[in-house]
Amino acid sequence: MDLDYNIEGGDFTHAGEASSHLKKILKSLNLDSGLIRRTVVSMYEAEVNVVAHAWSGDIHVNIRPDQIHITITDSGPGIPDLELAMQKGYSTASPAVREMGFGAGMGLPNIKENSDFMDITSKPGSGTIMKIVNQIKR
Amino acid sequence: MTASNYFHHALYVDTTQCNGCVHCVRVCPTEAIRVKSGCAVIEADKCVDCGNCFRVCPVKAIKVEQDDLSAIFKYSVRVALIPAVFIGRFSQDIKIEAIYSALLKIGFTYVFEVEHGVGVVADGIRSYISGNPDIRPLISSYCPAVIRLIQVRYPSLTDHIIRVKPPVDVSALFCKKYFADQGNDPEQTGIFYVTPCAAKIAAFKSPVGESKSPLTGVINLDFLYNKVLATIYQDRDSVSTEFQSPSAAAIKWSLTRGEVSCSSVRALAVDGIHEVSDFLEKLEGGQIKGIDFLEMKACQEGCPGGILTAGNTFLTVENMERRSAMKSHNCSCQVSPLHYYQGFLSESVTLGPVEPRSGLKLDQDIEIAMAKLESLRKIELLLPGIDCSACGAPTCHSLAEDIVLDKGSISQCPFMDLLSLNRGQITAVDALDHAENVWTGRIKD
Ligand SMILES: Nc1ncnc2c1ncn2[C@@H]1O[C@H](COP(=O)(O)OP(=O)(O)OP(=O)(O)O)[C@@H](O)[C@H]1O
Ligand code: SF4
Ligand SMILES: [Mg+2]
Repeated sequence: MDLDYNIEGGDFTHAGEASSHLKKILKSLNLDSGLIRRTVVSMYEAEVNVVAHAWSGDIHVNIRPDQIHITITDSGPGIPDLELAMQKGYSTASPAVREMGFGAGMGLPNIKENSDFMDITSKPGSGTIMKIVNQIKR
Repeated sequence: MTASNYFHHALYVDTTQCNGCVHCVRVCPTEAIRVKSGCAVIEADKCVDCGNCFRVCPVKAIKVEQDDLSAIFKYSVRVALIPAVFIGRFSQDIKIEAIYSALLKIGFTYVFEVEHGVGVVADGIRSYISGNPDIRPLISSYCPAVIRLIQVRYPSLTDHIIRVKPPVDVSALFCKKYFADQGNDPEQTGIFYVTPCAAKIAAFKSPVGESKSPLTGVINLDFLYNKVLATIYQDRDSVSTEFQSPSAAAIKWSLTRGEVSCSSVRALAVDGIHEVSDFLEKLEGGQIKGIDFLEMKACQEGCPGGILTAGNTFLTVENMERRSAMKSHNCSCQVSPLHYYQGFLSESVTLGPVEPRSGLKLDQDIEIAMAKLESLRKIELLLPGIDCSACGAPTCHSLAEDIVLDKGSISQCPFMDLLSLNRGQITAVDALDHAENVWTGRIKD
């Protein structure tokens, strides 16, 4: 099953709607509630990163009986130093973004913690692709 | 045993009164109600006893079950366990002593206020929060409708519920032990809680996190209010009864922010079942950070908004606030009646685990659930998407869900029937029959 969402950079009002929608879908599939939470939390952090740091993006979710694949593709400035970005507390969030309660530098570490597989490829100046995979245990 | 005969509900539909309008269907926070054959039907697995349906019913067809007051006379010790909101329901011209004596005249032998238990609960919450630093935010277990909402819709949050019993349980446990220690036969001691809502009745009849409630019975607040008022008016020169009031902070415990104002951590109070639901949705999705304690009450303004509190919610709130202010003004530093039982009560205040009770799955098996979800999405695309509830379901989405769960049919939608009629797939008589299935007796020729 496939789901697609669009994200606007800078649109904090609607940030989180895509992951809320995915949550409803996953609940209807009777998945383990812990797995649902981990998946949705990861997607939410990735969603907010596009809103906070990039210009626009797409989310593609593919649900299979054994795995959930989430791919977030954005056009934006990209991440020049991935290792640095992955560190807890590292953030380049603008003062305006911080005022909205984001920018603790915890998003990427949070995604890593809540997913079974995570991969980022980024081209500085053009955009970032993030892949998240979670296993469905039966 | 299936969930539906295990979870007791205090709300039911009076089929002789229900006219099959969809007011209740549209306000239910768990989409538990459908109109079938001209009458509302509540799905037991999904109902959380919040009472929203009761509030909006224009013909008073949603009822709250009621135990018989005469049941108290089976006991020789008859305790009325009254919440502060009960006192708050009376106008300030009526002395609290008069309310107490009226309760004694009605047949109780002892009156005790629920909020005496607040001190033990507040201590329990504080140590639970500091003892569980890894779970944030922690959610108050005060409101049974909220607990049930979390079980049904937000099962991953059940371990966020603070495992400390509400004040009513603590006070009931105290009364039980106190009267036994006074030499009364426990079998002859009846503790009756005066309830502001259906959720507390459901919590008594099928407790969550405890095997059995310490209460003997429940009495609906609106019913007892009328009785007490009549007794007071009949007999103006009422005997003055000595009584002890709970602390100023305890009196406000059941109001919105009542719990939060006793807390020293970062805490929020959310009231109203839809607001609570929206908040939990975001919380479950990892969208809310940095909060330690959440007070959540299903009714706006807290228990003064309870469906059995009746009367004007805001006047009740003001009465309670004024009583609390007066109490703190003449602080006489009385010793709490629970003082000598502190040790016993602190040991008994722990609540067992709250089990999830997911009401949202399409199928037990993920592959079947996925197939059902695919067809649900296809059906949803066919439906008009105007959420008019003419099919008897709250939204087009929920009709689509009913169809894939074999609980509904696409012919319930009058617009789909018009299309089928136009295509010559059904006759006008068929269409009328389909409408009649939902709206029995409502469509008049
Ligand atoms: N999609 C993206 N495009 C460009 N830069 C990104 C993107 N995602 C993350 N980054 C960079 O990586 C840094 C760390 O991201 P992370 O999500 O861990 O923290 P944050 O977004 O700054 O703060 P928080 O997630 O705690 O609100 C960001 O500050 C930003 O510089
Ligand atoms: S807020 Fe109070 S009255 Fe309302 S449902 Fe919860 S416990 Fe009952
Ligand atoms: Mg981030």
